[in-house]
Amino acid sequence: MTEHDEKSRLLDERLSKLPAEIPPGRDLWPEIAARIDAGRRRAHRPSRGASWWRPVLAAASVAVVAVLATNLRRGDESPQPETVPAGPASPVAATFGPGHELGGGYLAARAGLTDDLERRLEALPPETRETVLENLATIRRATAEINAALGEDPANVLLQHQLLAAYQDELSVLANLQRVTGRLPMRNEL
Amino acid sequence: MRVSADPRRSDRRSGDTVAFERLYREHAGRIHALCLRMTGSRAAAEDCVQETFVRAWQNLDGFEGRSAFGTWLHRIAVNCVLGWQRAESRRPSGHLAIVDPDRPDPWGADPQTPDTGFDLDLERAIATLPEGARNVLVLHTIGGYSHEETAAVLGIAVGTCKAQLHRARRLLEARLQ
Repeated sequence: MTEHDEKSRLLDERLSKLPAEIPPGRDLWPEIAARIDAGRRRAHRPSRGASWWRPVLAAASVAVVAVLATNLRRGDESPQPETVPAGPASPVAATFGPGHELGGGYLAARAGLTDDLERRLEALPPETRETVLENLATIRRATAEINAALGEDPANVLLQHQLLAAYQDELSVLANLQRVTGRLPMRNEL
Repeated sequence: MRVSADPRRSDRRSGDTVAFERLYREHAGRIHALCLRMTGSRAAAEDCVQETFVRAWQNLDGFEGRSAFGTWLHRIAVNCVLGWQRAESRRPSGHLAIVDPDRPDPWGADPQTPDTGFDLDLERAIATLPEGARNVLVLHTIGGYSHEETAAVLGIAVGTCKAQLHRARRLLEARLQ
């Protein structure tokens, strides 16, 4: 038997002795039962049915990217911009559900992208700007809904992942907006 | 003698969680072992165990008893872990850092972890394997899946599965020297 065979045999022996069961360090049942219970309560609440934000978020992201891309192709044909209401474009506070803070890197990137957001939006044609604002508002409504759901069910990994995806969608929209408007003349440059 | 709970006696519609709790007690150890070894994180493993049982409850109507309940549950757990791994891989480093203080060593000192019957050196070495190699080792060698089953669950080719297992073993042998 070669040295390698011997090593391999020893490894097999050790692997075969690993326990098939390792109990969790704490009893997870109370949290599971609470989540089951919360799920049942949500199921009986007709106004807040299944996770409406998932398809809406996906559609919003696609719509925003498509609108921005169309706008970029139009170039100089775009009509003159109009004033934009400040409300929906204003950045909202970002958290990652109760008990979690967003990383500093994310917050810095987001702050950089939302800086001068109003001015960038003004550079867009009115219909494009309206669509972008509607979609940003949709993403932020979804974010608020998921955050609220996390308030009821803080340990829900799926909700945490959905919240993460929503923040990333928002970041992509803002990054695309910055990229596209960076190639368009700003209002004060016209 | 342990009496197995019948999953079909957990009536989801009437909200009877008593029988389901018995199923949790019976299977939690095996599901947690799988999640802990595949995620390499105690906190993530606990999240995945919870998610597994919540999903199992939600889909209990779909369990037809053609396979053992443990096998069905195991499959759900693997999907939960794979979902967690995908989410982790998409997370930009430094952007959305969720504090996970026990990530460096899920097998670190814990008064609730039994100190007997554990090959901690081996468990730690498994936790440091690259994700692909670790998944195959945990499912095939420890979990008892065939190469075909492992490849199907992970969505990889059988040849890739064998190569990943070879890689895992080679790395373990080197790290355990």
